[in-house]
Amino acid sequence: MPLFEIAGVHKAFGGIRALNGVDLSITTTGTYGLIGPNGAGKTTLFDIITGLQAPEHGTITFDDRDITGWSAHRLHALGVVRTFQECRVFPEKTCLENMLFAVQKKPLAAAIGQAFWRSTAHLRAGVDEARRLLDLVRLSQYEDHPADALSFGQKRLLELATIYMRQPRLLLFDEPASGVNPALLDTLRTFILRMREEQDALLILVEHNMEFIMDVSDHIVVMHQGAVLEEGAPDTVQSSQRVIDAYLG
Amino acid sequence: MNRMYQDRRGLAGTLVLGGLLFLIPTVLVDQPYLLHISILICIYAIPAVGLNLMLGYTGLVSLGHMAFAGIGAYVAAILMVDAGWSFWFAMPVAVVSAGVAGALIGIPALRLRSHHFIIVTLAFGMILFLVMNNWDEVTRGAEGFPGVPRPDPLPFGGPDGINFLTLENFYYLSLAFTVAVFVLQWALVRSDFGRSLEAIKQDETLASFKGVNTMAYKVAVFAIGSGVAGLGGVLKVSFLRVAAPLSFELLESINIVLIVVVGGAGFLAGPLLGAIIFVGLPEYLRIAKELRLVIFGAVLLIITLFAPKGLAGMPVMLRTRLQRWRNAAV
Repeated sequence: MPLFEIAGVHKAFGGIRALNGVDLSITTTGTYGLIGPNGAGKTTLFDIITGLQAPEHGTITFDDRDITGWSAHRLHALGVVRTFQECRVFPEKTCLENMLFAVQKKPLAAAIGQAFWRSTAHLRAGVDEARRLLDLVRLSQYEDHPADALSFGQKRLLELATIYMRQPRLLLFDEPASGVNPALLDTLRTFILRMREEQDALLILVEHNMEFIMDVSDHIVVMHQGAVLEEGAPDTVQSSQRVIDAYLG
Repeated sequence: MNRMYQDRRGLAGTLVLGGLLFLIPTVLVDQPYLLHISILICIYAIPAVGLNLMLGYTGLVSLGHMAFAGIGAYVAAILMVDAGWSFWFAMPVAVVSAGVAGALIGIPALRLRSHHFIIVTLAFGMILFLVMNNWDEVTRGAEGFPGVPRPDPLPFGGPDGINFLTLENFYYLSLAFTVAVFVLQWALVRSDFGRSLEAIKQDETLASFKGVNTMAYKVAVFAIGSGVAGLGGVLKVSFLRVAAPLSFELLESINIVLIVVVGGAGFLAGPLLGAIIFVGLPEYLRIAKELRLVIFGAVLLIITLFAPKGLAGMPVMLRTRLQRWRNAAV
């Protein structure tokens, strides 16, 4: 039984067909790199998995549940999380507050109730883990600084660190290395590899930096013209003639 | 965490301000007019707290906020005058009615974003004004709903209890409700609920991907804000002894937005400072006769230009500038 499955997903924007019957079946946890030329449909696929776009046909299944069209907060409750190309953190919250946001009570009644029964045990319990993760991405000294004061690369690291606060089960990273300078890229690579060792999760990442994605991925999926063209181990995919043709035209 | 210290300072500032307001009747002996103004400040600060939760902490701009105060006011007026209910029973029903109305309007309206949402709140306020102004059988129409009683005396504090016919006692009642809604605001803002509202304000999409049911949260804060506005409406009609449509028209809703913005949107003390400026200053400026509104406008302009975060945000703004200046000097 697959852990995560995309079956026959189609999506068009006007006359442009972004996804043309995507099929992908993943049976185990690990890191999957999703690559393909611009316009191959990678981000659209992420948007459909996370409910930001609705597919015309097809289903998404995770952990035996059909999650097609689920809202973001419902997916989050299941352990499905994502990042965005443009890097999103809460700009006015401090780095530590951004981290602790993950462990806050989210059900409405519990969150309102917390105003009157002021237990902060859940936040205190998360502080050590938050500081450990901030340390791993070398942001400890900025824990009381607003996220907006960080550089783009640091914000990206913070964004990824917040994702790991609640031990997610399915992670979708959309171009995590884009705009990150080489020094911080090393930190980012080390962090992702460290998290893979620590947490038994399925990570799917879209990335144009080939060296980076080949380094961190166990398995590569190549998309082309809205469908899966090739998949396999990084070495196999890199030497595939079909992949070379797709990239070089 | 910095924010926590900021909250504590904000709470301390608000409590000091509240303490000073408590002393007003002692200071303003034999000055009923000034006491009257102080009551109005409380009556405007209460709905401003409701709007501060929506606008200041969640980023929801409503131009129909006083319409919900109107719902509370008219429900209370009808229950007290037509059904003969006591203020103490009519008031909670009126507050809940305003809150439920907020939720019912919020569910469809909050699906819209930005200016579309603002237009819906504006339209709702205008429609409700027309209803209050023209539904003569229920609301008594444009002339208003006369004979709204003051709260029944409380059965303690002396042989005749505490009656609210005197300005002084009504002032203390208004102040008690004002303190209550400020404590409510403080508790909500410091909770996980408040932190999620701030997250929605900063990046709604991200908040939803972090597990916040943003629609439910927005409806909840809209309902709470509307209920708080309803309380302000009940106090207003009970104080003025009449529920009139003009008390809840568009201009009043705009005034509440200005109170929140000028006082400091997203700051605990903002609604109170804004209400003091908006209600108190024009009265004080009566000494300037016909220049009164010109000076008032100029003061608002100066605050907007030099304190973009509002009066309550000035200490934070000055501290930030001072820090930058020190850093530059080093």
